[in-house]
Amino acid sequence: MNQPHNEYQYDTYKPKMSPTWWLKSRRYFMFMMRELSSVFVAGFVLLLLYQIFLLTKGPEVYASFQRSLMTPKFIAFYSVAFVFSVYHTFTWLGVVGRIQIVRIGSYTMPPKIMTASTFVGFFFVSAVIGYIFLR
Amino acid sequence: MSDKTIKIRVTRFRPEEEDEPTEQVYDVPYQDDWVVLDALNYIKDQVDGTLSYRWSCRMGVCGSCGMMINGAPKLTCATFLKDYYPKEIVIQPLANFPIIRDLVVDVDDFMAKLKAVKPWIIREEQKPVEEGEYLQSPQELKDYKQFSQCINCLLCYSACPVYGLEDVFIGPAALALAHRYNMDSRDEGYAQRTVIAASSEGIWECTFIGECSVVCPKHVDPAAAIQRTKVETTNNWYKSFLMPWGDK
Repeated sequence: MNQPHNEYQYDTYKPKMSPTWWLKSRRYFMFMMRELSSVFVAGFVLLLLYQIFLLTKGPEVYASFQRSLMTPKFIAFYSVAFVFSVYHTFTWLGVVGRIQIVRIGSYTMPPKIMTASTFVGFFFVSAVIGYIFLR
Repeated sequence: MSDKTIKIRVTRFRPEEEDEPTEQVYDVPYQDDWVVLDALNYIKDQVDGTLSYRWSCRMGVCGSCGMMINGAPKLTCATFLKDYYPKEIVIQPLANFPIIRDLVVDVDDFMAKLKAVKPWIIREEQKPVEEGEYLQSPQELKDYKQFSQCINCLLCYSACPVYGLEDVFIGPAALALAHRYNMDSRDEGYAQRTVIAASSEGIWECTFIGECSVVCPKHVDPAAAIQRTKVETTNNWYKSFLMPWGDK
């Protein structure tokens, strides 16, 4: 375990990170959940693409697949994917103010306003999409 | 001096005697106004002169007394015993770095990375002294001031699991300082720095855990600096792709 140092020839000890490092703090755990959320989002997108592909196979095949999505395992998957998607979205929108600097002339938009604007934009676009597809 | 005592559990590593670190527990007099560094200095002066650790200014400026306190990276000069008393305090060397001796870690890797991002003002041409200073407006100062507060204490590296798992990562402080100089209106070294900062070992290794910014004692927010650099380099790439005739 001891590693000889190249330049001055002294030994060092390099501790190894435990595979469970992400269980040691709530923030690390929530980060891993954010990363895991990508798996569910990817699964949702693949299912959606498959659904679009089935449109080319005729209405009966498509309707049959639609019915299979109404089973408990798919409903459970979509519920988990929805929760993870919302979590992932909120964590990213929440940091926009820290990352995106917007200047109007010599005025710099305060981070809180930037973050709030992003959330307002998100809810507005979601409402418009919801109105178009659910009316 | 108070009759109260507090237990301090310290990592010991004496490479000439042992292959792995061990622990040693010391009873230290408890005082409300003592910080963890005071307790270590008490041990060094009164109990065990062989204990090794780094410290200098005692006021959160030099950045040399960073250690793991009960598992969290902190400056020992800014961490009070009263926040832990009567429970014991566990002091370990900064995580993610090789240990040289007791609480002293090897920071050569960081020093090499810091030098690689050229954290100084680069000018293509220096103007003659008689032409005066390089002037800067308050807004131009504000653009980078937050990132210039870094004291190289390395708490951010210790909190960064990416650096712990992949030590090729240039890391939070060096990237924050690269951003600091890139944002400086007097600087012209963006291209030189970005070769390193935007390499695969640079900003793109960062998965935005954000713990570097949480533990930073100077509120530098290295995570924001890294994400801003990602946005900036991506925008510049698109600009160079769409407008190859434009400024590089």
